[in-house]
Amino acid sequence: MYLVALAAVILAARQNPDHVFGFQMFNESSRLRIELFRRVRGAPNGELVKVVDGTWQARDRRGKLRTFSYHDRIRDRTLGKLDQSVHASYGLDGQLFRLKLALEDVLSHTRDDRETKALVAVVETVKNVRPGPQVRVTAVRR
Amino acid sequence: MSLRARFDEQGDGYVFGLARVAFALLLTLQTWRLLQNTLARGYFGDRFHLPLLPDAFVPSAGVFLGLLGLQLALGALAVGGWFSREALALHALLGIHWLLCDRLQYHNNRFALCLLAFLCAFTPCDRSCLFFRGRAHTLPAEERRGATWARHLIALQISAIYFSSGSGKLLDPDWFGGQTMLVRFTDGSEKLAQHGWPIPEWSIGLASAPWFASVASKSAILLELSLALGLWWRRTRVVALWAGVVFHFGIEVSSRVELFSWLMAAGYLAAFVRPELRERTLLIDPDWRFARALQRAVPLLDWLARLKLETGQGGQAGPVVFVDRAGERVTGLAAAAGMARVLPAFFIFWGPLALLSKLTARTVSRS
Repeated sequence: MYLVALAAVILAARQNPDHVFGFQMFNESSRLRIELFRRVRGAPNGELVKVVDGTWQARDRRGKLRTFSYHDRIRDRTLGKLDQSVHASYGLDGQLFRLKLALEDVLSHTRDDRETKALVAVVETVKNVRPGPQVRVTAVRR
Repeated sequence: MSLRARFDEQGDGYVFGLARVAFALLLTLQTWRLLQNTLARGYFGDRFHLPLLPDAFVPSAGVFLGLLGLQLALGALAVGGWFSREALALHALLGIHWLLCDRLQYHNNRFALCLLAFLCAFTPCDRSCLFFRGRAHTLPAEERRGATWARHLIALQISAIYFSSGSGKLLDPDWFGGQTMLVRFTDGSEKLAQHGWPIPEWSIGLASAPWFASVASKSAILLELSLALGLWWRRTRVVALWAGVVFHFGIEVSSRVELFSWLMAAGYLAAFVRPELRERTLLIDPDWRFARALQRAVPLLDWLARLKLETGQGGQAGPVVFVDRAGERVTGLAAAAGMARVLPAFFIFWGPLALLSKLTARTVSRS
């Protein structure tokens, strides 16, 4: 029974983007650099507004200007570092998968922000030293 | 050995007691770090986390801290030897639960530690290293015996770790081709240089050479896959164990892998050290000063109780004669290799000593 469970866990882990429970040691030497932007109401042509130092100001439902911070929710060693190149532990795919969920989490915890329609992370990727594609990860407020 | 025989196997619990203490200390250290991290950075549930379990199973901050306290208490019980198997199993299960509560906290070594410690709780690990038990910390030999089938599951778990890691790298073109290793080598050289370590020019050249990274990658993959299999056969086991120790020693000094190296050492202890004690003998000739010094040192270093010490009758083949399990008597380098094989603190020297003793023996027989 233990053998079957162990094999199932390891095989299932290979399907996960971050391979958790899969014993994939040192799977990549990749890096990523996350730049965070907001898509705000009324911006011309859906232009993105850069988020500096992880914080931004926006009006709440009463029209009062408030400060919001990405770091209030995201303190992970990889995803919590904006505008700097960091090691993508457990691989690029794993970190991009987690980033999408992180952005959705931030949006769900900044409901007072009545201006931000979406958070967009523009991610520079480097997979094992070779420059990879620039990836856009978007979370839209529902 | 057939599957049935492995399941019915009985053995001395002494070594498992040592493994229990090792696993319990590692689990406690892991829990202590988690507690420190929580106190310094806040409760993980109050920030972005990724539970694999339904939210109802993720505790509140207060309950989480309380359970961490309970884990520390369980760690003390498991180390001390009071309800130690139950404490070890529960501690490990709580550790797995935290990983299921937040996959951001997942690390392979943390998961492996919980699994190996949990399996160790099914061995007769509660019959030695009983520090709550007055002066006699170990039960008498006849009371220490118990079913040791769980050690084969520990062995299987260790093999699964090597196999999964090695096969994952084998199927990854960047790993197999050496690219991933090249990055690690060059990063490592840069870090050493930043910390002011003197690095010879030739080693920098080697670390940045793609061919070297390619060879190193393939060697690492081959080693991991060989370990997955080699630990199972009696003929290859000691070589595999030695290669594994050297491999993990290398990882420990070159990478940050938390408790992984220590965990594998404890895993080797539980899975691959024969439960039977004192199957080998060291014959000491007391006329030799060196031999007398060894007679005093060996009991301090023989943590796994492998050796029976006997005083020779004089006129023996050398100051120190090592008698192995089959009764074969060896002296000199071969005796040194035999001792390195059974004394954990010197096991890393077993490989070169065994090789040297074989080469010397061949030279002698040829001359």
